[in-house]
Amino acid sequence: MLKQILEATRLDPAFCAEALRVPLRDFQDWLDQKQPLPRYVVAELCNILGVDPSKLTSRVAASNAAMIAPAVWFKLRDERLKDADRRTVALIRRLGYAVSQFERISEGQGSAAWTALSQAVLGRVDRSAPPADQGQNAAIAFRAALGLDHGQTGIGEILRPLLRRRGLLLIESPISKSGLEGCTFAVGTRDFERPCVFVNTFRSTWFRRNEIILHEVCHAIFDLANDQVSLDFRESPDEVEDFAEVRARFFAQNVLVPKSVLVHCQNRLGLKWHELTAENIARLIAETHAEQRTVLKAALAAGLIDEPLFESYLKLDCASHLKGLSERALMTHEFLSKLPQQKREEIAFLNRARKTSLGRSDLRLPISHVQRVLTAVGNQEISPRKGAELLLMDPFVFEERFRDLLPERAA
Amino acid sequence: MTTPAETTQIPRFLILDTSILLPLIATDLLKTILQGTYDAFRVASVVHPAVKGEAEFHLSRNRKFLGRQEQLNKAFKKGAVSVLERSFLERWHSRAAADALLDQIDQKGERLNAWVDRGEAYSHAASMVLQVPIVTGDQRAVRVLIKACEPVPRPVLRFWDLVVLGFQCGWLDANACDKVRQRLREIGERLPPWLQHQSFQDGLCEFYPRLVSASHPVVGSPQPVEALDQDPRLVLGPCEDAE
Repeated sequence: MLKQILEATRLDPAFCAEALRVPLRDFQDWLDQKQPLPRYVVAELCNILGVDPSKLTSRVAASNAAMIAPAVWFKLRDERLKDADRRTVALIRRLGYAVSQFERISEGQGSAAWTALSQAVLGRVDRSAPPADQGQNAAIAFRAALGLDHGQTGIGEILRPLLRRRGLLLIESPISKSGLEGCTFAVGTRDFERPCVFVNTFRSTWFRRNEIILHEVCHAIFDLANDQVSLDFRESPDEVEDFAEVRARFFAQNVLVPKSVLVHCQNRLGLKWHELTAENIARLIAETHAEQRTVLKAALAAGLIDEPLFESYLKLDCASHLKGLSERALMTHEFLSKLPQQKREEIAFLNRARKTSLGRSDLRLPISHVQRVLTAVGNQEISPRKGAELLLMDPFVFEERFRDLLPERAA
Repeated sequence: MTTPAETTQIPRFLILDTSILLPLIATDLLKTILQGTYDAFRVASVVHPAVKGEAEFHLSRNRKFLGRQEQLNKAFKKGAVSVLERSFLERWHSRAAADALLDQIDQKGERLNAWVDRGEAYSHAASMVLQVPIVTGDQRAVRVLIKACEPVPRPVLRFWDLVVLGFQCGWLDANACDKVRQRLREIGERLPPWLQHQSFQDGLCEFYPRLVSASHPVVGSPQPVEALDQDPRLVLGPCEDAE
């Protein structure tokens, strides 16, 4: 059955063998059922493929793809996805397994914190209401649950750590030449399952990604129970939004830019909504941490501007103003050039530290995960080679990269 | 430190981890040491299947070990090292008992994998379940498991315990051992403190071997050097039918 499942996922055996750190010959023997699948790879492989162990080791062949494709991979057969997208999802699923494993022995949040947050939001939403209303009410409940309802400033800088502390696995990493903007699926072992949100950083701005993250968070709260994966592609003008997409869009917009935040910005910056300049809009972007279109849509929804103003403000080019107002608008080299030498070196180290790769697929690991693993290695709670496993790294690469941080070997 | 006791209960086999296999291969000692240990003392060397796979994986992709895959294949073919599977354990146990032991090893290995990497986890699991010594190059993993209150069987043997045994038994001379040291340095492996700034011959007096031959003059430090040296060391006597 493994062979059929693998064919259904469209993952390459060579990639899977490398992901499991086993020789391709061995993996091929398991696929061809020349050798039984050994127990030491079952848990990890099940997590990557999203199947139950009993199905993986079954010798009964299924008659068609619909019967055997694990739910998460079934949807990933979407023709808009490339092999690079699927490999990235597989890598992320492996990372999810590593995070769950690590949380068994460390004091991680586990899935309880996320479940509590989800329930706090779901409990405040009338599921029979229109999607825009659901999204808006869910946003209010979400901000309240995270203690964001008192502040009236942008939440972009605190969003990621807040979500991670609630047990969400958030990965932002580039997949070049991919139309995928973001996706959500569950990862981890049965008792340590949590939602994973992936955001493609390729040709994307930090402001845009704040919205994508929240869009996917909405899917994680509402849709993951029934739909193993949600996929969001770069906007296609012909695409008709379904119910879940409309809800997620309103959720993201209202979490990021509720009316109260716009009014606060208006008062603080002395804005006149009927005569905004490019610089004014740039300031709004810098303050709300949302991209131009989202800010203006929020202003339109809040009744602060009308449709003609929305259209004309959308055409204003704010990019040059924004660079002077927010570091987040700078290109990496522009940002680094402003920093003192020591800080540049620290950032360079962190960027190197968090990069891992498998074959042709790269992944940028969450910094918090990297730091927790390195701390655990330093405290001798886990071995360095275990640290390498948890960071999806070759142990020799890990040893070389973090040599100065590792405990001394004994004789 | 006081002189620890010695044990002459000769194990049937030693469990080898990837962190031992790879440096043995890189220094061309696989056959000399493992075949020598079996020929002289009838102590076999065995690896868990996870370790076999891991070693083959690294041999095929790591520049340090390029061109050395064949060494490992030959060692398995000629029996210098065996794989821990049912047929191996059936030498001493019934099929049902062998399966039960392998099942226990799998369960324990899965648990230990929370703290140490996969190959190390299953190697230590096998060592614990079968109550045989492990030979590992990852002493940091040993410290982690001891800190996690896992019952790691002692003594825990190291790469240099094997090399020094080879030196003690005359399979390797001081020059050959020093070449091992140099080779490890060339491939970027960290050397223990007693070898970092001096030759093998000069540093040997600072190393307390945990694995010794009863029928050859003792070498190395007469007193324990590290904390784990306090455990009874393994003394191998000659087998009656040894070559």
